[in-house]
Amino acid sequence: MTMSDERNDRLWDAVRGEYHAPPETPSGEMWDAIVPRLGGAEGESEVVDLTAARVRKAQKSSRWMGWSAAAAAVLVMGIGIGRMTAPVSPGEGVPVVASTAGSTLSFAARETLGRSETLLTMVRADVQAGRVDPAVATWTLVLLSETRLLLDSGIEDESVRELLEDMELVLVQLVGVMGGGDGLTDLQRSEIELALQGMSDRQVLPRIQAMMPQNPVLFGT
Amino acid sequence: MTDLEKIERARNGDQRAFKALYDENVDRIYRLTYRMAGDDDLARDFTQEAFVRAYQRLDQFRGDAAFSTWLHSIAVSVALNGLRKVDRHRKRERSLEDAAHLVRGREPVEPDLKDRIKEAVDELPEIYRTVFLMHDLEGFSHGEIAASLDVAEGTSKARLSRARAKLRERLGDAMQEYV
Repeated sequence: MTMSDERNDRLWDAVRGEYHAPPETPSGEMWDAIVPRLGGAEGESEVVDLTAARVRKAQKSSRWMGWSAAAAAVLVMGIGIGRMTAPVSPGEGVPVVASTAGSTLSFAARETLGRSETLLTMVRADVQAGRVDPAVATWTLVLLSETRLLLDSGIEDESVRELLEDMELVLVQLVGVMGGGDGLTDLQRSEIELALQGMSDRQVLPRIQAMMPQNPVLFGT
Repeated sequence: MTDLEKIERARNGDQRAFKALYDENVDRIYRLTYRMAGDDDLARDFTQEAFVRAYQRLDQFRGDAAFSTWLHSIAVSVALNGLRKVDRHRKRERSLEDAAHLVRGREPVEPDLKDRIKEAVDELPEIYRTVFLMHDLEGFSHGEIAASLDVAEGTSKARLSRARAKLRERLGDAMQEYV
C-alpha cells in the first residue's frame, strides 16, 4: 500500500465516521408506524389499490363530462347568487338570501373538492403506473378554473377556503407538468410526486373526506 | 422461504411475510437514508415511505432484480425527492440566517474537521454524492448502485471516481493536519 493509498484510506475512514453516521436503526418503531398504512385484512387501507383505482377510473371516466357539466351549472349558480347578494345592504329578509347563497357556494365548493379528491387519487395511481391519462390533464385544468372561481367568489367558511387554496396549489403544480402524451418523463414523474407529497403533508385528502357529507351518490365520491 | 415466496404471500395480504422482507432490509435502507439526510426524523420518514410504496407496488415487482435492489431504488428515489423539497426550505432559512449575520456582523470561525467533511460532502453534486454515500460509506457494490439508480455500472464507477477526486481536493490538506 502506498502513502497515497494510506492517506486516502484515512480520509474515507474519517468521512465514514464523521459524515451523518447513522444511529442504531429504530426498526420496531418504524414498523409500528408502517403497519397502519399497509391496511388490515378488513381493508382499512390508505394504500392506493391500483386495480381498484383502475376500476373506479373506468367507471368514472365515462360519466366525468356529465358531472363536469352539472358541477359547472351548480358553480355558476352559486357564484351568481353570491355576487348578486354581496352588495345588498343588510335589511329584512337578506339573511335568508345570503344564507341560501352561502350554502349554494358551500355545496359547489364541496362538490369541486370531492371531484378533486377523485382526480388526485387517480393521478397518484397513474403516476405509480408510470403514465397519466391525457384526459386527466384536461380535468385538472377544469378543476383549477372552478377552484379559482370559487376562491374569487368570497367563500366565508374558513376551512373550505383554506382547503380550496391548498387544492389550487396542487392543481397548479399538476397543470404545469402534465400534457405531452400519456407517458411520463422522469422529471414529470418527480414533479408530480412532489406535488402529491406536498398535498399529503398538508393532509388535503383527509380534510376533504372529513368535510364531505355522507352522501356518496350526490358527490360522486 | 425465498424472497419470491415471501413477496407472493405479501401480495396476498400476508403481513408477516412482508414483515420478514422488512426485517431483512430495514437496516440497510435506514442507514442509507440517514447518510443521505443526516436527520433521524427524515431518515425514518423516507424509510417508512419506501416500504409503504414497495408494498403498494408489489404487483409491479417482476423478479428481474433482487427484491433488495428494487427496494433500494425506491428508497433512493423517495429520499432524493424528499431532500430536494427539504433543501428548498433550508435554503430559505439559510437566506434569513445570512441576512441576520449581515446585520449583526459575522465572526470568522475556523471550521473543525467534522464541519469541513460535512461541507465538502454536502457540496458534491447530487449524482456524485449519492454514489459516494452508497459505495464508500454504506458498502453498496457498483452493481447494486447501478441497478438502484438505473445507470450503467461504468457510470457508477465514474461518478465515484469524480466524487473522491473532489473530496480529496477539498479535504486533502485537512487530513494532513488531522494525521
